[in-house]
Amino acid sequence: MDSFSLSQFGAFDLALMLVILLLPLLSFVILIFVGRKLPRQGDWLATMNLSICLGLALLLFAKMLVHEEAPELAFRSAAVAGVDAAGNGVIEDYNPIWVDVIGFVVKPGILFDNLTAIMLVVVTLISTLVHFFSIGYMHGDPRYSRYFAYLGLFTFSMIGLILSDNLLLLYVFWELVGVSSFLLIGFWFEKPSAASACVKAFITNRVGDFGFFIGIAILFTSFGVLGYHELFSALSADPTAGGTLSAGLLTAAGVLLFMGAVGKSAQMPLHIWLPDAMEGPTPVSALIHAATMVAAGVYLVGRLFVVFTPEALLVIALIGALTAIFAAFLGIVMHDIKKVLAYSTISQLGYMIAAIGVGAVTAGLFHLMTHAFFKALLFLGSGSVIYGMHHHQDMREMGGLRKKMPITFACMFIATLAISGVPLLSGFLSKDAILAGALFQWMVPGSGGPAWLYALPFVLLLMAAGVTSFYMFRLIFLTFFGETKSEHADHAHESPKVMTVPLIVLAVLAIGSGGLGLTSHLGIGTHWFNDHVAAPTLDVNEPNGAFLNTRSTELVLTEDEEHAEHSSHTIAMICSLLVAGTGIFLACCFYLWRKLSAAKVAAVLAPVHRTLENKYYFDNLFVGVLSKKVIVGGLNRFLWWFDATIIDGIVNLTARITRVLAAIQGLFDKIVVDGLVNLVGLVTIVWGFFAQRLQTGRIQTYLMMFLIGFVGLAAAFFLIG
Amino acid sequence: MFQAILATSPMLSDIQAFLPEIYLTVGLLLVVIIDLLPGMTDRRIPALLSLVGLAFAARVLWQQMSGEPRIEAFGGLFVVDRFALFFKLFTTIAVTVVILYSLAWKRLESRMGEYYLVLMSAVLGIFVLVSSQHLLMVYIGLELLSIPSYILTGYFKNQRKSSEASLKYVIYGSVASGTMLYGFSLLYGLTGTLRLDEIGPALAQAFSESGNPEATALAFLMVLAGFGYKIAAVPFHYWLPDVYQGAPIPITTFLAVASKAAGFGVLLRYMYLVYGAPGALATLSDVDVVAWVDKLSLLIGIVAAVTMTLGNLAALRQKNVVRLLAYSSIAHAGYLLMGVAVIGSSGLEAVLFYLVAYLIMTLGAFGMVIYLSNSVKSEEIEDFRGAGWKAPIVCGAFVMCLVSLVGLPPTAGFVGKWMLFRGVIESGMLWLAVVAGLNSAISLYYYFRVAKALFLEKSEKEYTLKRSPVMAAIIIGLSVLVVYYGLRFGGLIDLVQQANLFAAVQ
Amino acid sequence: MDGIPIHFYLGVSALLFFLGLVTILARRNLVYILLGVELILNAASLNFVTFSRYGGNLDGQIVSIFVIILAAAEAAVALAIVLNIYNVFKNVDVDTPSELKN
Repeated sequence: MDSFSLSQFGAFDLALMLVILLLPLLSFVILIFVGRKLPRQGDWLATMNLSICLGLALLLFAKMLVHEEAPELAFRSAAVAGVDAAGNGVIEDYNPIWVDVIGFVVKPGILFDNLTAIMLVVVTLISTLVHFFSIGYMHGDPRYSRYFAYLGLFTFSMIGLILSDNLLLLYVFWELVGVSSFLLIGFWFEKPSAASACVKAFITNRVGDFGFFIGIAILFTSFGVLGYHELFSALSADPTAGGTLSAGLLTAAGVLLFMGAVGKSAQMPLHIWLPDAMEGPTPVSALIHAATMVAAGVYLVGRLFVVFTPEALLVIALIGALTAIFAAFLGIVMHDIKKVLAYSTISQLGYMIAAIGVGAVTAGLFHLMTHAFFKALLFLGSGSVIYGMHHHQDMREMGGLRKKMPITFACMFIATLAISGVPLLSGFLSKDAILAGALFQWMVPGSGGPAWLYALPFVLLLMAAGVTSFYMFRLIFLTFFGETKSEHADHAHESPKVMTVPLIVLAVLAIGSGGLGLTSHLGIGTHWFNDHVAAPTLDVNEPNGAFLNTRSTELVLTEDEEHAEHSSHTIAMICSLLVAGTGIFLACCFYLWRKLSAAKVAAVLAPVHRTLENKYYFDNLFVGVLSKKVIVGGLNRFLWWFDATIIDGIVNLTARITRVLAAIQGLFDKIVVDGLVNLVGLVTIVWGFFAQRLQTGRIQTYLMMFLIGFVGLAAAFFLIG
Repeated sequence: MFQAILATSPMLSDIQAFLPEIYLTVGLLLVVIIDLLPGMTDRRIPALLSLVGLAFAARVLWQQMSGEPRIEAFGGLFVVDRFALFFKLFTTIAVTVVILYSLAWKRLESRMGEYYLVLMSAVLGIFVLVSSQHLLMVYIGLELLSIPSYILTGYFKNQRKSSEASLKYVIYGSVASGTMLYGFSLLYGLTGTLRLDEIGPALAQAFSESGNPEATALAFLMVLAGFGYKIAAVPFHYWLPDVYQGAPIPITTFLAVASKAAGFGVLLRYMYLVYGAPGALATLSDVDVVAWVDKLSLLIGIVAAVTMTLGNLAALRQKNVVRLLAYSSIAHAGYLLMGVAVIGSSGLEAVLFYLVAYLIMTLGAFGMVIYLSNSVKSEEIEDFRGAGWKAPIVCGAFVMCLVSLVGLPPTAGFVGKWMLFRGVIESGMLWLAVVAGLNSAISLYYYFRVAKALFLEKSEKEYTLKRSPVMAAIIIGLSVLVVYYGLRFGGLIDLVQQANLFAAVQ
Repeated sequence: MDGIPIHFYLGVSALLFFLGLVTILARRNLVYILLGVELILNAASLNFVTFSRYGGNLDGQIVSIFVIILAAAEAAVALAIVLNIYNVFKNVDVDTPSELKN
């Protein structure tokens, strides 16, 4: 094993990654078993573990920045290191076999490339900040230690998802993420709304995962491999997989894989779980809905970009764009501050998905990162507001909080500027890149469908940009400006340092994370993100690969296309500035200067308003389909039972051992002593009136008779003859 | 057209063999969808959809009946032969009547979509079960039948009786099917295969090579426990009276007719393929093997004798007519087991014939219970007093069904019993025929008690009997059939002979 | 793995089966009774996997997967029924629902 060096990736880095992966799991295991007995219920342990993870992730990230060649597939599940000629450290000397069924072998592996490095930093950073913030926010909760345990489990699953190098492992962690988010959203399961929200999230995600799994199955049956690397090379070597895969089937596989992302990343029509998931603790909302879980879908689509055919990409782009615009509209009519942010998240996720759909993979992933920072900031900021307002979330009760909570206000304002796409902030850069990508797709349409369909993403996304800045400024104005509108607002106070410091850190990142990229707009140097995360490509020479998407097969542009690409950036930037400005201006008119009345507009547009308030009736539809009474009700009770029986059972394990011993003794009494008594009684009964009296109504008697009858038959069989 | 396309590809022809099941599935999915639509509050709509699904399935079944005598689908997991088709058509008819009963029974009002959805799932389970030729398929089919049955039994979830019945059913059923599964695993261990048609010869080979009769017997007994629970043979019958009494009456009818027949279907196929088919144990002439198979036969015979005796004795003192019919159905399982004990051609034909008779007369009996309980709001025999004179024709028809249940001429029940008796006497189990004869005599008493209450006793309270022309027509029609098949049984015997597994080989 | 004689597996499976039966027959709480049922099913699964391993074909392993699925389905229904029993009878003692008898 070589030692750590900045210039090369080696086995030492693998060890680091394993540490990053396992530390959160460790804190989960410790906290779930003995968390209550630790000083401060173990919050320091979880936070410390995560901080170490963050440090290590930053180390790897720094190394990635220094490293000139982007390490592609740096590690393959190895304990012994080796470095190939390009310095990329492909290590395959030792592969523990994980699954081996009739020659089909799955090996657990770690895939580390620049995207992984960036995602690692995002996840660990947000998670660490959420840990810190939660120390304040969850203070005094009866299940404080279990909360941190769940956070650990969630972080572990998320890191595993990022690090895994094959679809099966990804799927396993994908489901783990689902489970832990279920636990976190339903953390306050005494609240019926929280209990049903977590069930809803879980079920909705299952719908998507169903498709996801079939998609994996199609790819696997065609190519027989599950690793990304093997899959991509098999795809480029023979896109038809020896004739078993046709364009239609690959499109289907792509759309099915995308279904998983639709569920996890809350795209229409499976977005319904996300707003409800706001019932969980607010830091959880920041963790799950800003940076990590919902990003998993985007990450998946980005990772598997080359698998999608042009048709599948068009579907992805359209769903993403539609989600972006529809969810943005919903943000306008919400009153709950977290609901606004929830729809805003859905809308922004739509942006990312659409970006990948139009082929701007880098832009989409870039937005994923910048969004993670400013959305986490917004959520934690809203958490701070809610905390200050004594857990009241309705914006109509707020107002005038600017002076009472200056730090929170400043941080949230920065985030709002970022999400609205105001220049010089991170959101501007990423959003702009996406719009440019969409515009380019309009100018140079792909082969997946009629050309006019390719125009839609740009138009919709541009509209969404305007709406976004409108509702975000509405939120700021309603919350922080004007008169205080309730007693709680009067008595609001700034949150403690443990909560504000994470806000400040995130605010710096919301400004700066894209900042390095500014240089490219000014024409100096290049964009750091672009430099390090390139769109995945395939090297296909065969003619029968024609159905793969050209974005990934040929990156050489014609002269016209190159021209289009250049102009698209300029046009997109101007357009986005215009619409964002309009949105902000309108928000000022409505909510700051009160020149226009929102109520009047709502009255004029009554049917529209009603549709929006009912969230396009999606929930009504799904509640019907999911049959609230049967499934949701049953699962709720199951959750109760699960938490009360299983989890508590594990926790109280030590206390139970004595009871188990007692129970064994009781069993002896029951079986031998009672059994004898029963047997004597039985004989009398049988001879009394055997036909009727045995039907005692007690199940265990019936089963005892089942057993006795069985033994009797066996005895008869062996005794006869 | 559709089927012509299906026939072109080997994989698709598998699907063609599976078409009835597919129609059923589509039907039940439609029930789900319709149930979710707002405004679909009419309780008849899901019933209608279920009937349409059954009708489509029946049409395909009918075509298959005149097609190839035996189709193996899905690599031999699933087999469509006359035997399977017999049971599928049987089930289709039974369930059609059950659905009509459900419509007629007034106490079923809410959540009808769920009701029919679950009912149709159970029907699907029966279809899979009787066609399966593979241990895994048998298990899946059995669970697909059992799990909806548990739900249906507890359909009135706020009623104590219904809840209790479903609890007993699910626990008892789980234990029994778990035991059966353990038996399956032993069979698999003994033979190394899961296909029933391969198990027979493999078991015979293993038996003659290593001589492991104990393990073979244990596997047999454990499997018998599973099937025995389904058909409610003593000592695996304890769940039955409580479940029958607690379940909604149409569901009781379903359990008594369709579910029990399916249990016999799979038991017969299992007994045939594992023990009776060419190359299997019962056809070998080795002395040890013959002794072993005789013991097997004798054991089933004992079970049959005890089952019918216990069922009849317990029925004697019942006051609740549903519970009475429950014990009567245990007793009939005993009669039917006589045919299984034979492990031979005549026994199998007798069982199939008697099942048809049992279908008709049991449907008639339960139909009457529904008819009366709609007005009386009770299932106690004493509350039925004097009802006979309020609706003499229907009640007369019902008495015809009771006569058939006793096994007196000129009814189908008599012919069926006669065939069963002949089967056991031919294979040298005269004592079993004697026991069965005595039992029929006992059963006369309690069936007569019901008839007596209807016609010879006076009602204590005044009530008017609600007219229900559909129910009346069904009951009268069934009683006419009982008599018809009691007199002209040739056609039915032809059908049964076609469905005979033993005959299909020759 | 191949060093372990098959009897060990069969012994464990038989033990599991027995423990399941004991649980079902002796426990008062319905939830434990359901757990006993699961034990029985697992015993059968273990048998299948063992025979599959030693018998040389994969059928048994496939069966065990199906058994797991069906056990889950059955457990779901059974738990729902137990919950319903709790709603109706207000406890989950196995002997409380014993009104249906002769």
